[in-house]
Parts: sequence; C-alpha cells; structure tokens
Amino acid sequence: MPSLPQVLFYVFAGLAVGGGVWLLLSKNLLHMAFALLLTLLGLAAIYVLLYADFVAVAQIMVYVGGVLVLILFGLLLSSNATGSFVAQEPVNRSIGLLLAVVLLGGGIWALVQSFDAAFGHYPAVPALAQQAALGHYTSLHGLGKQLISTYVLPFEIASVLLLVALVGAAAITKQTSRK
Amino acid sequence: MMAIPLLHLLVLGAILFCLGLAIVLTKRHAIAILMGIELLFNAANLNLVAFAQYDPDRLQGQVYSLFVMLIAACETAVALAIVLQVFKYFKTAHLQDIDQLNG
Amino acid sequence: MAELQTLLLVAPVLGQSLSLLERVTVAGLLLMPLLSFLSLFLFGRKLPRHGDWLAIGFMGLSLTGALFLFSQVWGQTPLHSEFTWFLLPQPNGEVVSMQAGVYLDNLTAVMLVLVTFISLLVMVFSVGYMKGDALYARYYAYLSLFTACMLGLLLADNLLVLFICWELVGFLSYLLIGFWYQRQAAAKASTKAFLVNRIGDVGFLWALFAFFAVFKTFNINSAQALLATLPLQAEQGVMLLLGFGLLAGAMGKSAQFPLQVWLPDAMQGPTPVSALIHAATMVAAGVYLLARCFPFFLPEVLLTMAIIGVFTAFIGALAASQQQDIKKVLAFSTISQLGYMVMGVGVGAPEASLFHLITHAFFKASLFLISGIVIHAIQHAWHHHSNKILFEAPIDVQDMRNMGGLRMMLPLTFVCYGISAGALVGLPFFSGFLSKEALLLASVQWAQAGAGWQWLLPGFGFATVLLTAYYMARQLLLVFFGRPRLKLPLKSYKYSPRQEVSWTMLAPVMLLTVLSLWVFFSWSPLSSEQSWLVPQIASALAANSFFPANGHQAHISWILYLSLAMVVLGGALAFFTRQAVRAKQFTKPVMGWRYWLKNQFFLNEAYAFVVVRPTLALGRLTEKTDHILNYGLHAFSKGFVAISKLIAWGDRWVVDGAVQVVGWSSRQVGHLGRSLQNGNIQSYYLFSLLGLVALLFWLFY
Repeated sequence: MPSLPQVLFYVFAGLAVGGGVWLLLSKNLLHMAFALLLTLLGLAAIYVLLYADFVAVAQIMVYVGGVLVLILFGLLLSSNATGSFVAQEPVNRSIGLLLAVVLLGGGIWALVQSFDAAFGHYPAVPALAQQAALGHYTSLHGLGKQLISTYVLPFEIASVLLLVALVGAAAITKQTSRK
Repeated sequence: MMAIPLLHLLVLGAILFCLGLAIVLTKRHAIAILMGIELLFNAANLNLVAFAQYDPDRLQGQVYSLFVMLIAACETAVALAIVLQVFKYFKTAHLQDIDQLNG
Repeated sequence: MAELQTLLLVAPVLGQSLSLLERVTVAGLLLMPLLSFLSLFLFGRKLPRHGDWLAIGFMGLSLTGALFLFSQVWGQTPLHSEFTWFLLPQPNGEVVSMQAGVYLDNLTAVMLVLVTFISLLVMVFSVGYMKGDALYARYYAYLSLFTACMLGLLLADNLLVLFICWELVGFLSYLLIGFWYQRQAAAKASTKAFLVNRIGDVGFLWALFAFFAVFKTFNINSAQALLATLPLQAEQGVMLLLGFGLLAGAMGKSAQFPLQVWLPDAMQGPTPVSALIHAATMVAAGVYLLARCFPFFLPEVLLTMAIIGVFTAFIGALAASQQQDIKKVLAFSTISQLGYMVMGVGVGAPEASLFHLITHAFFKASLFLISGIVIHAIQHAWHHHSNKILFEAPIDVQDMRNMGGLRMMLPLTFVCYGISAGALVGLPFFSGFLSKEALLLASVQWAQAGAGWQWLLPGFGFATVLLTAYYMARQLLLVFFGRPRLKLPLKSYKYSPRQEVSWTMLAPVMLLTVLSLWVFFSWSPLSSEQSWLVPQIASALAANSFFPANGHQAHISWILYLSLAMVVLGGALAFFTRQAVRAKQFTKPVMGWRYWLKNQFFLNEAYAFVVVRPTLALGRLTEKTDHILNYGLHAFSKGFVAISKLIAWGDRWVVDGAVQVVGWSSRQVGHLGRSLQNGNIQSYYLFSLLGLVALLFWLFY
C-alpha cells in the first residue's frame, strides 16, 4: 500500500510527464507554453515532497513568474503579422525521436542495472525525511546558512552574473543594426 | 512512513530529460527550443534535489539547484534578447531558415 | 570551494615537484597576460596611449618568467605538478579523480620562450603598425589573451585542458581575423576559419572520448606509461579512432589538406596577427599536439599523416607560386611548411618537425612583419599621393603588382627580407636549412626502410623545395627589384626623410632576422646533427612502439646536394622568367593553369561544386539512364514477349533494380554529404548526440 506522499508523487510525476509530452507534440506555441507551465508546477510539487520547500517556491517564482512570462513576451514580440502561434511541422522528426527514445531506453536500462550497486547502500528513508519526521521541517534555515557561509563567493558571483545578464539582455535588445 | 523511491525520481528525471532533448531536436521555432532547454535544466534539477535528501547538513543539491535556476533565468533573458534581434534581422525565428553558415 | 580555486587559477601552483619560485613563475606566466587582457579590455581607452605599454610590459615580464623556467628545466628532468580537478563517481562505487596540472619539460620550456618572445616582438611591432586604429586597446587585449591561452595550451599536462586552451586560441584567432569586422571579407573569413576548425575539432573531441575510453585518464604521460600494458589488439579500433581524431584536429588547426582553406582567408586580419597567430604560434599547435601524442599513433595513422603532410606541402607551394597578394604568398607558404612538419611527425621524426616549427616561427614571423612594413610603406606613399590627386580609385596595397623596386626605399627591410627568405627556402647558413634538412633526411630514411612507392614522398618533398625557392625568389623580384610600378615620389615611401620605417617596426624584424641565422641553432651550418636543440627535444618525446625504428641515423650526403640543386633551380626559374612573370602578372588577367594554382585548384569552390553537385547530378543522370533503360527494355520485352516472360522478369528486377539502387544510393550519398554541412545548428547538435550515443553504446558493450 503506497503512502500518501508516494501517491502524490505519482500524480505530480504524471502531470509533469504529461506536460512534457504535450509540449513535445503540440504545434501551437502558446499551448506549448501552457504545457511547460504544467511541467514546472508538477516539478514544484515534487520538490515539496522531497522536503525542498524553498526550491519549490523558487521554482514557481523564477520559472513560472519569470522565465515563462519572459517566454510569453518573447512569443508575442517574435510573431509576425501573418504567422500565428502555430508552429510548422517538426524537423528531423524520426531521427530526433529515435535518438531521444534510444537515450531514454539506454538511460533507464543503465539506471536499473547499476542502481543497487551505486545507491543500494543509501538508507531507505532519507536523512531529510528522518529530520522532518521529528517535527516541522523547512530547508529554509539550512539553505540560508549555507548561502552566506560556504557558498558566499559563488553567491556573490551569481549576483554579478545576474546583473551582467540583465545589462547584456537590455543591450542586445536595444541594439539597432548598423547597416 | 514510506519515502519516494530514489529510482523513480531518477527515472522521472531521465524521462523529462529525453523529452527536452526531443523538443530541442525537433522543434523549428527558437523559443520552442528554449522551452526544451528549460526542460533539460529542470530534469537535471530534479536529480539534484532528489540527492539532496541524503545530505541534511549541507543541502548541496538544493543549493546547486538554486544556482541552476539562476543560470537558467540568465540564459533565458539573454537568449530571448538574441532571438528578438535574430527575428528583427531575418524576419523569422525558425532556426531551419537561418542557415547563413551553410557550406 | 575547490572549484573556485580552480577558477581563480590558484590551484595549479599547489604542486609537488615544482619549487615555490617555479610555481609562482608558472602562475605569473599565465596570469600576467590575463591581467593585461582584463585591464586593457576594461580600461584600455582611458589609459595613456591606450595601454600598449601595459601589454608590452606584462609580456616582457612573461618572457622573463619563461626564460627563468627555461633555465630551470632545460636539460633537467621534467617538472610535473597536478591537483585534483574534479571527482567523477562511477556506477560501481569507485571514484575517478580527474587531475589537471602543469608539465614542464624541454619542449614546453623552449615553446614558452618562443611564444612569449614572438608575442612581445609582435606587440612592439604593432605599436607602429596599428597606430591610430579605433580599437587599438582592444587589439592589445586580444593579443594578450591569445598569449595566455597559448601558454596554457603548452603548459597543460593533459589533453582535456589542452583541448580547452585549443578552443580558446581558436576563438581568439576568430576575433583577431575579424578584427576589422566592418569589412565584409574579414567577417566572412573569421567565420570560415572558425567553422573549418570546428570540423577538425569534432575529430579532436572524438579522439578525447577514445582516449579516455582506453586510458581512463587524460594525462598524456600516465597514458604513455599505460600504453605498454594495454591489450592493443583488442583496442585497435579505438586507437585508430584516437589517432585519426587527433590528426583531424591537427589538420584543422595546422591547415592541412583538405581543411587548409581557412588559412589564406585568415590574412584578412591585421598583419602582425598573421605573423603571431597564423604563422608562428597557433597554427603550429596542431604539430605540437601531434608530436606530444606521437606514441599513440598506429602505423596506419602515421602513414596517412605523412601523405597528407607532403601533399599539403606540395599543393601549398604550388598555390603560393601564383599569388599576387604579398600576404597570400606567405600564407600558402605557411601551409606548405606546416605540411612539412606534419609529414615529419608522420615519418617518425617529431623532433625534426618541432625543430622546423621553432626555426619556422622566427623566419616566418619576420617575413610577415616585413610584409607589414611593405604594406605600410605602400599605404603611406599612396596616402601621401592621393591627398593631392582626388577622385582616384583606391589601390590594393597588398597587391605585389603595385610594388617593385622597394630595395631603393627600404634597404634595411630588403636585407632582412633576403635573410628570412633565405632561411625559408633553405639556403645553407640559415636556420631553415638545418631543420628542412632534418625533415628531408627523416623522409628519405623512412622511404629507404619502406616499400618502393614510398620514395614518392621524399620526391614530393624535394619538389616542394624547388617550388619554395621559386615563389620566394619571385616575391623578392616582384617586391624589391625592378622599378616602382606605382608612379609615386620615392621619398613618400619612407617614414621620415632619414628613416625608412619607425624603429618600433624595424627593431623586431631585425631581431627575428638575426635569429634566422644558423648559429643560434647549431654550430655546424650544414647539419642539424650538432644542434643543441634537437637532442633535447627528442629526449622530451616518447618513442612510438608501433613504429619500426629506423636504426641508422646516418648522414646521407646527397640530400644536401639535391636540395641545394633544387633551391638553385627554383631561384633560377624565377630569375629567368622574371620578365614574363612581371609582364603577365601586370597586364593580363591570369588564366589557364596559373589561375588554377592561384585559387588553390578552386578547392573552396570545389567543396560546393565537386563534392555536392556532381553527386546530385550523378544521381539525376543515373535516374535518367534508368528511365531510358526502362523504356528500352520495355519495348524490347514487348517485342520478345513471346520468347519468355522469364527474361522480362529478370530484366525488370535484376538489371533495373541494380541501376535504380545505384542511382538511389548515389543520390543519398550526395544528400548525406550536403546535409552534413547545412549550417543548421540543430543538425550539428544532432550529429554530436549521435556520436555520443554511438560511443556510449560502444563503451557499454
């Protein structure tokens, strides 16, 4: 009998994979954006189940609130008057799908083959779950401490990177062709 | 208390990764390909978060996943800016039609 | 935090066997050009003189560091230090640790000095040459960064780091070829160079996969140690992939046939850049790689390498003999000389190749810088002139038809040119003679040891000597002799009434020219055997166990006379046809075979034309033939339907089917060939993924 978190996991995993498949099969770019939304939300829910509440919130804020909105804007700005959001037929369809399926099959096969050897010694109940079982658990404290101690330099570099990306994106978009 | 089996998480990550790969390979529109790349990032992130469960003190996986998100956001912003410029210049965002480097 | 240390380049100095001073020097050697790049890139415009003194000063410090390391390492045991780069857990629980580090032996040391020295001279030269350019600071920034990456390439002890630096120097080459990116030709040339190099780099990448698959490490020295213990029969296929992949990488970077097409176009970059990157250092990286990886090549790979090398040398020299652009002659000559070097590795004499690399770096850099001086002088004169006469069509300042008689205006440059050209064609008493002699000797010994047809290779080698003498003498005659063909006042060619060119430009050239004399490389002007360089370099290289060792290193004296005869013959040919050459080159548009040679057999067009179109046409033709046959057979079988239905059946299925299969398959081959080069980013991604899947498949079975 699977426990509630497990059931929820399969539901949300189904949601994420369904979103991904829709994303792959859809020809309409707007539909694709919505499919991506589904996948992202499903993954956010799975993160909560994995005791990564902050990552889940960040997933929703950054991806849904930021990236996806950006993508929608991009779609609006890059659709010409005649072409609607309906994308044309896919390219390298057979070979692309074949390659993906081969990689997937090979990957799952390799995972199943070597899983016990590689991760069999991991405890059945992960350490975070044990901590969570002791009371209310949030990863927020741990993450906060890590970010200002061990990872403070990457953190600062990341902030500079963000700034650079921001300025760069603005600069590229503003550029007019010098012809 | 039953935890979510690690293997299933890894398989889910693999499925999402291959979906992303298929999207990157088969879509025409640059923004569709960007969405595929986001999916690839997410698949990788899932693995990081899954493994972070076993690391309660340092939460390395979760920290990494935050950085990945950050990089993904930067990447999207810059890539979209480039797509817009490309669209302005070539009047199309279909990568198949942009083959100036055809040899 | 270990990753960050790597990023900040602190870790490489945490070594074992390097002393503290040496570690600091290595770090300084790499950091100094980087620092100069950063400061110039960010603040170059604000600095006085746009910061050229800063770049030159840092490069001077780098040279000092390189000289110090040279003094520490030369003739001693190699120094090696490494640190754990990253850890790679395996599915079976064990952890593979990836090491990266610095490896310093005789070869590295001498190359470090070479790169920093030429880089410094080129920077000094550029003070005069690039004066007043809008992006002056950025130019120096790029040059500094290039040098840093090149030093990284030389210092790397493992192929992965080497590959990273390899890609970086390629990128810097792209930036510098397209430095005047407003010119369409320069922008196109840079893209072309980049893309053609990509083809080679895909090979390199596959070689890396294969390397790791076989040796489970990227470290060259550890892999060499492992080589003896491997069951090589079983690994034959991967070793072939490894060898051919490395060869492909070197063919891209060192401009070997059929990937040499980018190098002539790369002359769109500023001339000092051509001297530094596209003659002396970066293009030699391919040869350096081949020499470093020499023990890993199977005999098949070496044979291919030798043939490609000598063929490139020959057609490069052929193409050089018909160019009108002063820089293009030198570019094709570089291709030809690189061909010699690749051939040298192929015939089992990597130390001779590296010796030629070193001597070639000096005299070719000198020749390029001289061509820069000449171009500058013509520009100066024309500028002077066109200020007075308006509305005249601009001239091509690099065209040798616009030169002539420059020995009167630029006497010192002329002398330098004569010496450097003497070194290039291989006259005795010059450095080029020694190294070319060593290469030819190696090829002759190789032919002696092998089958009869192998004599073709030294044969082509000697023919190339003749052609080299011809094109250099032709250039000398066209540029410096005769009368000035532009009717401009002679004084206007000069930098100032007293001086032919500014000292910043002349001094580096003179220094390089002096270093083209034999005495710096060997006491004996006629033989490389007494060279102090070659044995030390040879000691740094591991032997190839697959290669039949040619025990006799005997001096073969007729090589000397034959190559001298070839040089004299080539020079005489140029001298006695000088009138015809001048007349033809100057008046008529060259046609016929000259035109062919000039455009290097239309190889560029050939890629579009010879490979793609004929296959398509063949496909269509066979399809058409197939239709005709179909009709004919149909009528035929109708006429003889009474004889047998069996024959008709046989006709339709056997004959027809075969023709159809031929037509269809040649069409498919055409499509395949074309689709590989479709300029489409997704396809490239697809191909690399296919390669990955194939390799994973191979690895797990």
